[in-house]
Amino acid sequence: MPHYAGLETIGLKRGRRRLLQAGIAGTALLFALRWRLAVPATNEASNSSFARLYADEATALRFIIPVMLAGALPPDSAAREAAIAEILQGIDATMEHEPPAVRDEIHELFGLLTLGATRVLVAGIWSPWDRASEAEIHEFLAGWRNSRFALLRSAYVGLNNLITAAWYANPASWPRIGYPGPPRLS
Amino acid sequence: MTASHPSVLHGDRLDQDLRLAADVVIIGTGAGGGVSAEILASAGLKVVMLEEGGYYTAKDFRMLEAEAYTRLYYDLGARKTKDKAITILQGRTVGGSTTVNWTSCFRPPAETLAHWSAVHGVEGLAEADMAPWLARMEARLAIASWPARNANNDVLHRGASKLGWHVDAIPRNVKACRNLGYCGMGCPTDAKQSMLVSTIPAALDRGAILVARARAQRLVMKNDRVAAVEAQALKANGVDPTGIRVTVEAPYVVLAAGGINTPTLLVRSGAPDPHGVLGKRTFLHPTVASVATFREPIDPFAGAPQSAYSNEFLHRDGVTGRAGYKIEQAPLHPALGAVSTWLFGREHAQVMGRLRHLSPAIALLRDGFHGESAGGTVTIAGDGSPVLEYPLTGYLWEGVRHAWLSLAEMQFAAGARSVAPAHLDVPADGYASWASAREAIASLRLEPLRAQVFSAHVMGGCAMGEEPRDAVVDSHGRHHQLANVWIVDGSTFPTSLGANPSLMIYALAARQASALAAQARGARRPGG
Repeated sequence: MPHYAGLETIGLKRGRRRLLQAGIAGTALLFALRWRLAVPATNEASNSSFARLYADEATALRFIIPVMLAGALPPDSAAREAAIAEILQGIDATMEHEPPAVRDEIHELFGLLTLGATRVLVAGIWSPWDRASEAEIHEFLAGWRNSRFALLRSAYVGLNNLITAAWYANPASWPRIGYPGPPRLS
Repeated sequence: MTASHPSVLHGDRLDQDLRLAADVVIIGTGAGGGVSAEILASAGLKVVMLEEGGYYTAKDFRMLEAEAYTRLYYDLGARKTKDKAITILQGRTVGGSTTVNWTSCFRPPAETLAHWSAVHGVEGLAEADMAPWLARMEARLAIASWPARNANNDVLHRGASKLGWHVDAIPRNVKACRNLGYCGMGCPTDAKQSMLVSTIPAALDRGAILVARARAQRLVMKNDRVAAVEAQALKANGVDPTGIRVTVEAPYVVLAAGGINTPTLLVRSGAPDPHGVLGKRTFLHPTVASVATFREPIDPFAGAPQSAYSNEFLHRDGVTGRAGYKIEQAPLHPALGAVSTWLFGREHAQVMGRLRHLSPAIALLRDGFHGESAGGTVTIAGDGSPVLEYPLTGYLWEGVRHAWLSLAEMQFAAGARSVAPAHLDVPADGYASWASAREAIASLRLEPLRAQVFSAHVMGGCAMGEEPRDAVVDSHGRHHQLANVWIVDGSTFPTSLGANPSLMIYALAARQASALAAQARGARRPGG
């Protein structure tokens, strides 16, 4: 039972119409994701510059990162783009060091965001990521974070931790927060 | 002693299958395996150690979170329970969690040992029985009270003192410690007397062999014995098998892979479990946090991470009553702080902007002493990897709320400007007074993934006890069904310990391994 994609169970348990719809979508999604995980995602991987991240996952993250880290990234646009690129590299490195079962779960989580149907139904983002507004993305993160379903809260925490760890492990984030870095050993 | 040792083999560098023979094979090199290795090698036995993690030493420890978590921990320091409600910090490196722990070394509470004897059929581990073993390991690992409190631990000391609570200094296993504050990323100066710098090199000097990046995959059973241990060599990323196999044959098998991996290995191997106790009663010291903000800098990343504690509420309702807890402080470095802050956007940025002024206090709940605290269950997934299910029961939630209240009261008593229990519904700025905190905490929703729950201590799953119906091993760590298997790690605790478990595991392993050494040497003597 995947942790992030088992949406059909909560939908059916609650019996609410909106959730039931999400539940049906979730069931369809499960098949889609299973298929996707079973078949090496050659098209995504081939045009991806990452070891583990698929290109469409990186695309979604490029738009989510600035909202997750609003107020924390450098204001200068070149520095900001560089920071986002480094965060994506950091997430890729994280996935490289996770055990296969956890890697699969992360792909399932990202799958909710890259598949059009679930992006709309589960994340509430109606347009593709490059056309989604910051306000919409903020709403989506707040919705998952405050969801009554532990499953969506866990998906939020997973996304939050992947992104924030990659940024704050990066020395570029330290001056703003006053962290001096590790002491020098003389 | 940190230079690479000729008796250390690296799974990621093996280009063909490896077969080794020994008197004893030890699986895991943490507190249990490390101590056992030194004792067994010193007894003249040929020892092979298998370790899933890599062989990293002081020169590799650059005090950088980006390197430390990927190399030295399971799942980058965020191993999760099945429902993801609890985040588990567990070391995966030579020396196990002792390489990355915060050096707190407590003697076990006498109440816990008495409870094990009275309720769980454990024999010979009473306080007086354990005292010499504890003293021996305290001497071996230079364990002594640490007088230099950093500002973060001074918060605990000040708050608890003001309230008239119990408070004391924490004994640490260090020599010539420079008080840097990066114990969790591996000690860069070899001050910490982890297994990596103490018992493991001592065992290697006595002829032991260590194979790092070798994950024990299967115990090969023959009748009521384990004939061999099969391991997978792992790639340098620490997780993916290279396809090379490492096989060790030995008349004695010592399991010391910790509270998740020891039961997992037994389950995966189809070990006998006639009474259905294997992998049951896994305990975590479920831990909750409260983060105070102070006007003055605390610099929670600097100085020995843990030096003061309070047992005021450890047995607040006796040993078997409502859940008691130990109060300690946690260090905070940027990435650890970031992932523990479940806000996003500007609120997350604001909290992180206060990093130098943050002081996290933690409460570690004693689990396993009450009928509503039966712990978790370890099973295996389709790919053989461990799955830990751990229900957070109403009994534990009652303890969680009580603990948040105590932590907040203590932090305000110490002069905190604001206090934020680690919970999704708490505002980013926390609560500005003890009165408002008390009122708000009383109604916080007690639900998984709203309350943030952590663990750094995995115990149980292969419980000790003389009665095979209730236990996997006897009081000496001998497996009840497998004649040549000994378990010497924290997985043998029948409940949680009620204190950071490293010293108890050191002492218990010293006792168990000494008995095994005597038996193995006796068996080897001609006609013996």
